[in-house]
Amino acid sequence: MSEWPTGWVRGDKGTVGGVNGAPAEAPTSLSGPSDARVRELAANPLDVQRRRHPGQWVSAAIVIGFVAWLIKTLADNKLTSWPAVGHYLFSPDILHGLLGTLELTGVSMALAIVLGFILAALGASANPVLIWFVRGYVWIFRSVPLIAQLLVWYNLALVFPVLAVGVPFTSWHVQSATITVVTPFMAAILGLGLHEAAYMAEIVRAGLVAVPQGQTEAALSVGLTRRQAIRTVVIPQTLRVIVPPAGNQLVGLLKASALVYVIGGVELLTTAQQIYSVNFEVMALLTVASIWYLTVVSMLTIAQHFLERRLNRDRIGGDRSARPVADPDFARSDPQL
Amino acid sequence: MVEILGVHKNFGQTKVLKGVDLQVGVGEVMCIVGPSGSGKSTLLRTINRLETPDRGLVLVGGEIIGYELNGDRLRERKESDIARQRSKIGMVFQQFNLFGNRTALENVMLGPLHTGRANRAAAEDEARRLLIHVGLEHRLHAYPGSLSGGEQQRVSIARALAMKPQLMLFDEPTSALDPERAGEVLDVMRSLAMEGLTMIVITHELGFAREAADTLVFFEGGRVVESGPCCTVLTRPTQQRTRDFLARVL
Repeated sequence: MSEWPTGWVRGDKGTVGGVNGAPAEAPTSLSGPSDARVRELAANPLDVQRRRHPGQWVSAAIVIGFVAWLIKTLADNKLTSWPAVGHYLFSPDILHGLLGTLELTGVSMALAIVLGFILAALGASANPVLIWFVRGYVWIFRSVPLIAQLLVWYNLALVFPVLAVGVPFTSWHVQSATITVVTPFMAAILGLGLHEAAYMAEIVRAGLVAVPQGQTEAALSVGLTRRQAIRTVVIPQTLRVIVPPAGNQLVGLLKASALVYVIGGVELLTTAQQIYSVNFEVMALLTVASIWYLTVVSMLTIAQHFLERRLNRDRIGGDRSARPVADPDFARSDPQL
Repeated sequence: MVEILGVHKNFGQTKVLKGVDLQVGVGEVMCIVGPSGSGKSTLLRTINRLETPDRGLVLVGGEIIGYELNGDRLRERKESDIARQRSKIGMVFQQFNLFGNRTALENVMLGPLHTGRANRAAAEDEARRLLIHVGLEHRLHAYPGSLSGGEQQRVSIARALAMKPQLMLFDEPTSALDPERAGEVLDVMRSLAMEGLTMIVITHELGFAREAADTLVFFEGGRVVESGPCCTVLTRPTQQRTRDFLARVL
């Protein structure tokens, strides 16, 4: 907090308050030894000898020195081939792998968000069967390791060699071999998306719980149906609760997508591994992959920042036509503001 | 306009309403007073079916709330039908319950817009007019978080009025406000009473009741202890319990 409202003085212990512009002949409430001296100090702008903090300088110097040493060591290292990093950073293979990672992350996150909202809505219903279904889903898909789920989807053909869709009690149906339907990409999307949906369902549930009951009642009282109330009043207010943890999940998913190497999916880290298994530029290619992960996560973080700022505009801006709040971070940290 | 017939309501083992009968005529203002926890709010909430009575019926404007007659049996109404019934009954809450992510203007527009009463332009014109009416012409685009309690409550009155209700329910509208802000809200309510709107008001403001109410109900323990013309109940209560309560409040 850098700005203090005018009229207040931030002081160290024993701050001056009270007696505003008290005249010299003020009541003798002060009983200290140097009455008049204290009054004079109080009347003038504070002139304080600040305490020194030499420890802060020392610790800062140590950390800066360490980081500088680390950078120099890495830069000088002959075994890490920096030219190779530059060469592979924009190579078609790596970019193709990056695209695969983005595709896997984007599609499975979209699936997870949609499913997460549906599951949370079912879980919030009054129907005990639906509630238990959702609990069961979350229980299973959150408990089984992601890598196992990927393998199960990929190997689905072992137990269901043929997939068929038909109308019950008639002979009409379409069918095809499981292998042709569940490609590595499809298995990856199912594995990542369904696993992630279990987490999203819990996040959305938290968002629904966070919106006070009074919001729904107010919407009902002006003639909306329960469904309309949820859609137009409740859901928009859940977003500000959902976005921060969902952003976290998205970053986690981006990195977890590397696990699809077990089913032969195309993505960034696998591509890097394939290249270094041939040319042995292990560190260079891991560096390339890391740079791309860093870049994507940075962009996601920035996007999330702006999204959250928009969702919280009623708290930061207050009145669109009136006073701005000096420090938005401060305003956002307090849910009551 | 409103008939409450033998309404009972339990929350688990707790009997909150133990057989309530009340009538409110068109254009009448009824004030309900009584100690906290006596079931006043629950009673008010059965009128627009935010609570469902366990026994008894509520009629507003000649329609049974929540049910329709099917031969000589009652049949539950559809959700959309209940929503239509609610839309004719405005409600003002103690804690305002303004939609937190919408400006004052958007709060007032939401009802007419989403019930298909008006298009955006008409809803906005009407919302603007109502907010000016409650003295908030300078706060149209403010979010609830930046409004004072009194301003929020006046927005919430405008929000209820936007549905052109035939009945307004006020659930302790000034209890969360300091006396000055409460005064602003009571002024608005007084002018609505003058205009002939039918109102049921739960309040501790006996001054308001004396000026604006036609009937006063003293409510305690889930029952109507005493009801009658406002001045009579205030000045010559027949029940000892009413006398005790008024003696403490006045």
